[in-house]
Amino acid sequence: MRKQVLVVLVLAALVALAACSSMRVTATKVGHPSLAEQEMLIPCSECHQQVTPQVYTEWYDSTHGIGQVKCYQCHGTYENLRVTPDMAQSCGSCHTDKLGDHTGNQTCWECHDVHSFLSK
Amino acid sequence: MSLSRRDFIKNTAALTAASYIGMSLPFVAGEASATDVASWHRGTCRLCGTGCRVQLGINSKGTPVAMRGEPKSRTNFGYLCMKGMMFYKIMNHPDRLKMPLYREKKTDKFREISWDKALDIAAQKFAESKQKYGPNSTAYYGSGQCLTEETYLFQKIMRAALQTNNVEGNPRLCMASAVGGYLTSFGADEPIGGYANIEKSSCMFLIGSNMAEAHPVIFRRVMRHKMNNKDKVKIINADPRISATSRIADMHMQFKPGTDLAMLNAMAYTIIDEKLHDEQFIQDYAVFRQGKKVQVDMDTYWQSLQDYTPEKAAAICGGNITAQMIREAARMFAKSDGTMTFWCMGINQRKRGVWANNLIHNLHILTGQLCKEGADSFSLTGQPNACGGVREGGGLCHILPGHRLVAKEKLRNQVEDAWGIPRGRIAPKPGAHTIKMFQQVNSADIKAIWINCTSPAQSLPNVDLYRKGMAREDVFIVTSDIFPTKTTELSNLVLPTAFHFEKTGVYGCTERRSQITPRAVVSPGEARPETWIATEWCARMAKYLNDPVVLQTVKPFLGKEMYVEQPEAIWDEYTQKLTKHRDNDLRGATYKVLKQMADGVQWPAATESYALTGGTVMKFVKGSDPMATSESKDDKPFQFYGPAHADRKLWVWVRPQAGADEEPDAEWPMYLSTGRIIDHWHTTSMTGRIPELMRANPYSFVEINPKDALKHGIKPNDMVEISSRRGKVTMPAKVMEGPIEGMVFAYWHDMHEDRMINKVVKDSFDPGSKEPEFKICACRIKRVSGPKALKPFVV
Repeated sequence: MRKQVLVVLVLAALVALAACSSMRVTATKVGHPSLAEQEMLIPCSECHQQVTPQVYTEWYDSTHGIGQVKCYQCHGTYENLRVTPDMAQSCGSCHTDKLGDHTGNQTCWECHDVHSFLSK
Repeated sequence: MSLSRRDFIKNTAALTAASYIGMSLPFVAGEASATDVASWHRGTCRLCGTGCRVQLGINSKGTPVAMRGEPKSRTNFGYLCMKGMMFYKIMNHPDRLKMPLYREKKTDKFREISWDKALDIAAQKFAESKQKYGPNSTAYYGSGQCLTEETYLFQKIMRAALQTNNVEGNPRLCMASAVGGYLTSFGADEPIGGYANIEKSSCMFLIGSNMAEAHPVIFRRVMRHKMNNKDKVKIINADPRISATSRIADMHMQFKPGTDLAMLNAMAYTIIDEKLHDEQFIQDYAVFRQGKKVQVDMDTYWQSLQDYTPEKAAAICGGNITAQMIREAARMFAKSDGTMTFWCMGINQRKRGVWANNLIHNLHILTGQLCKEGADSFSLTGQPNACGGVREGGGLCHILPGHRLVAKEKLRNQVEDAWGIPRGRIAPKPGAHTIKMFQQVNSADIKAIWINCTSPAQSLPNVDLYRKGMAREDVFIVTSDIFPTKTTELSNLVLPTAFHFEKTGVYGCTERRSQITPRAVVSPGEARPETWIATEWCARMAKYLNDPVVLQTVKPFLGKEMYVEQPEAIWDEYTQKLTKHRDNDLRGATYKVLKQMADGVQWPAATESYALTGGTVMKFVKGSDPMATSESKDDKPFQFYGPAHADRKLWVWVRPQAGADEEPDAEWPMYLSTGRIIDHWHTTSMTGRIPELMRANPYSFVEINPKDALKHGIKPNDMVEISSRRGKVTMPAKVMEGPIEGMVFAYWHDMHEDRMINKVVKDSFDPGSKEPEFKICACRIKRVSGPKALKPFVV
């Protein structure tokens, strides 16, 4: 959870920086720095490798990283970005059988690390 | 963490050299639909050959809003890749074709016309072509994405009504060499086992396949098995390119493109040299072959391998290949409790793709790594219904439904009898294979061609050459599809078709598994199922041709309700009449059974009660495959009853090393290879319209080895021209330890004229399988400029 908060803070900081930038950007209404349309064509991991290296490394070494499950599958793209994934929509698309009895009232990330997906 | 926005932009400057404000994207970006799912509908993914079962979620208005995996499926156990997860997003895309479009001349603009008019034009043009220029002036070019019912019906119309075997499809471009390999080595097409072997294997040999990207869900099964059994399970990855697949490998064998035949022969050499072969298995089930009709003994085979000692092969292969590495790989392969080989286009799309397939099968036969748990020689398939529809349903110029050869009169007669048409109606000569077919379009020997659910104007090798023919005004082209493509741009008549889940039908995936996708949503506009389109077209042709057999061809299906009854009638005719007692016996896999199954049926499955168990997991094995017992000729546990080997033996082939048709030289000094990435599917007509997927890989890149990049002064994201004897394209560079030095690897998922790599690729093909050699040709590269802002593009 701490890492998640950190990610949110970093993204919020970038949003603030973007607001000060004189560069023409396309406004976004979600928690991500505003980006020009051309910048939106850069894969998430390319920037986050540097912006949030710990998150990147955790993901890269995880089963999701090796199995090529990419950022946008859980977090969406710019217009529908979800810093905290929608469990049914994201986790549920591959792990339907784990939702319900297995999770109960808890979220997946209460028991699994956010980006390494290892059991806590 | 302290990156400023300035640094952030600077770091990504390579891709953002110019800010590109206000450009129009080829997709509608917006809020994803909320998952207010009212009902879930089971079906099959259509974006590779794995056969993942999915559930499509639709809301109370009948709009698709979500996709999830089917957890009870034995193919994917609920897992999906991003393409499977998101393809529902294109179903209501505004670019969907909604009305038939027509233009007399290809230089004219399209105008909307009614179905009545459209079908009449198509019928008149094909009938006229047959009458004036003969049956072979007409052709059908289909797809491994068509439902089995669609492929079966179109080929029936072409053969029975128009009397031509000019029936082809894009699986010729990807799987024909695998078919040739299976038939010549095992006597029967398609794998012996299935995915169930993955979790039982202890060695996996991955060659010519980047399965992590091209077959992500199968890869995840392989990956999990490896991660759960780190020391017990060994993975060998053999490929000229290091890829995402290589991450799980214990050994990566990186060889010069086109030298893997030598490497595979050297592994066979080691297996025999070190007495790792299974003498009893060979004695019971195998013979040795040199040429189609020449049987040789094992000693002759052994003598042929003397040119491929590990030392000699290592010298041929280059790269990181050493004699010791070849020996070690051979030992891992032979000694494991169960070895499974996976390959795909890297083996198939080659001048000698069939031979490469044979040499893989050789290793399995020699070591007895077949017909037991965890062991299989398994060709991965690229499209969802290349196996079920095209290979089994008669979708190529030389085959009829039920794995029958056109050339055999007895088999043609069986089909004619089943169809209730006069014997002799089906032409005895196979039609034109894909490249020949489009050569005949170029020469206008083919005057009327129907292209269904595929885009040869982008996917053929040396594509500009064939686009010239397709642009001819004296060649009438009908294209049926869901979106505009590079091929609709060259067509006279464009027919809007119903998409997956908008119609009912069956896909047969890589592991002999047939799975149904029932209709769940309504098509936009006037898009219609291809089975209805083809039936109505043929019925109209009957009038123009004044031939009762033409009407007889579709009579059993005429007038039936188009979404369920009609495809079911077609499926029943195909399975009950034409797979009966064939090796792909599907009589038990009725719609009723398939609808009950979470994951379909693996053939052979002759009865409904057997099909309800899931069918045959392992072919040829008594106790697993009922046909191994019913077709048994002796008391041995394995019975290789396939249609191609009368001796019922597995054939170990003498095959020499053979390189590419076009090797690098002084003028064209580099190898060019092309391939796929995970976010896209083939031409991008579908995935290019999904924002998440398009943004993840917005255009083609060329991967260049750092040593080559240094030689050419190329930096990451520089614009690089790739040219060959056929054409040139320009795309941004990825400088990475991927391709071996001396080779570049370009992605082919891009419709933009500047970046369509098939303009550069050579159209040479395997003389046996007729599959083109997309994977290797000679090229040169040069830096054109620094990074440029590029625009993703779809037609």
